[in-house]
Amino acid sequence: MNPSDGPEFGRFAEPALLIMVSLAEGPRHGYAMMLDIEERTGRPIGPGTLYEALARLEQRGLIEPLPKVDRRQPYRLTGLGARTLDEQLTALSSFADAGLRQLRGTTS
Amino acid sequence: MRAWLVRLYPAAWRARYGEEFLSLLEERAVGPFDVLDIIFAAFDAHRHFRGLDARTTQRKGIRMTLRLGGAAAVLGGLVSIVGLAWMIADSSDQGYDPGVTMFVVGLVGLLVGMAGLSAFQARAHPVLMWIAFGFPAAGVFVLVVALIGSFRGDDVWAGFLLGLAAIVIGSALFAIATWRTRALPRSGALILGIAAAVSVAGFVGASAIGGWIGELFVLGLVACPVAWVVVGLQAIRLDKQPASLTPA
Repeated sequence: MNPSDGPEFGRFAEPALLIMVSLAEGPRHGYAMMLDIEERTGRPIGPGTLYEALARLEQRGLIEPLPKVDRRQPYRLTGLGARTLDEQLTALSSFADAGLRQLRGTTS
Repeated sequence: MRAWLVRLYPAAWRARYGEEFLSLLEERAVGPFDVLDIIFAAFDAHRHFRGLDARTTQRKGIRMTLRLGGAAAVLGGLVSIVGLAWMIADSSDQGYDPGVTMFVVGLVGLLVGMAGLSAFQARAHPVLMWIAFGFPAAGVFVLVVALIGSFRGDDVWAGFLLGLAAIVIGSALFAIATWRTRALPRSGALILGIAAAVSVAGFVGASAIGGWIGELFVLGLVACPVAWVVVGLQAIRLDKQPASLTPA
């Protein structure tokens, strides 16, 4: 159920992961997610990309909508979403650690 | 324009996300980057989200990113340079000149590149960025019309000049917005700005005085695509840098 390996996410895998990381801090609406992601990564994320990734995450039960605040629609991670994100970040962290060990072992 | 962008999506998608998506678009300035991003995403939604329960099974498709903008700028710049070189090498005024077609195709690539590299600039200076995009868009249109006219043997030199001038002015405005926002490395913006300024000075100078000043226009015209290649490469390098993903 990792957002980066399922064919359902396709080229929206990276935005989906970034959205989940953003929601890990708490519920956010679309605009707040965009600002947060752009601040974290330094790269722009378009509104179309954001909502294609959001729709895929919601379809898979990884995020869910909360009651609207004005016209804004906040989302939060579901329990499944939090577990999936944990697994995904742990796998990335393990991969990064192994890569760093290999690099430092090679260069030292 | 925002409501029109939402209408690009399928009805089922709009029923679920339309209102909140429109609310998102109303919260911020919408630039050329966002418009292209929405067009690509809406196309994707039509293919994969009919009924909202369809699953995407393909990885192919386009997503608007800095890298795409950078790649378009590099390819567009290179094709433009080859087209210009072809035109200069083929000095005969008779018959079809493939260099002109190649140059126009390269400029279309530069237009996509400008849109792809303008996301952050458009947030801070939306009007300036739309004007910067509008000039080359109009310029490319004029050039395509002139190109079609040239196939029929019409004298389209004035049209070509106007189209080229519009593209150079758009490049100059893009350079100014990029310099002010620091959205991309300032060195690339500076090179692009100087190239465009030299070309504009040559265009104006040749119109007013004539003579050798016209050479500046050609010099700037060659330098502009080169500068776009530099800006594109800088954007690709920026996009390759890993996301920090540090707590905000």
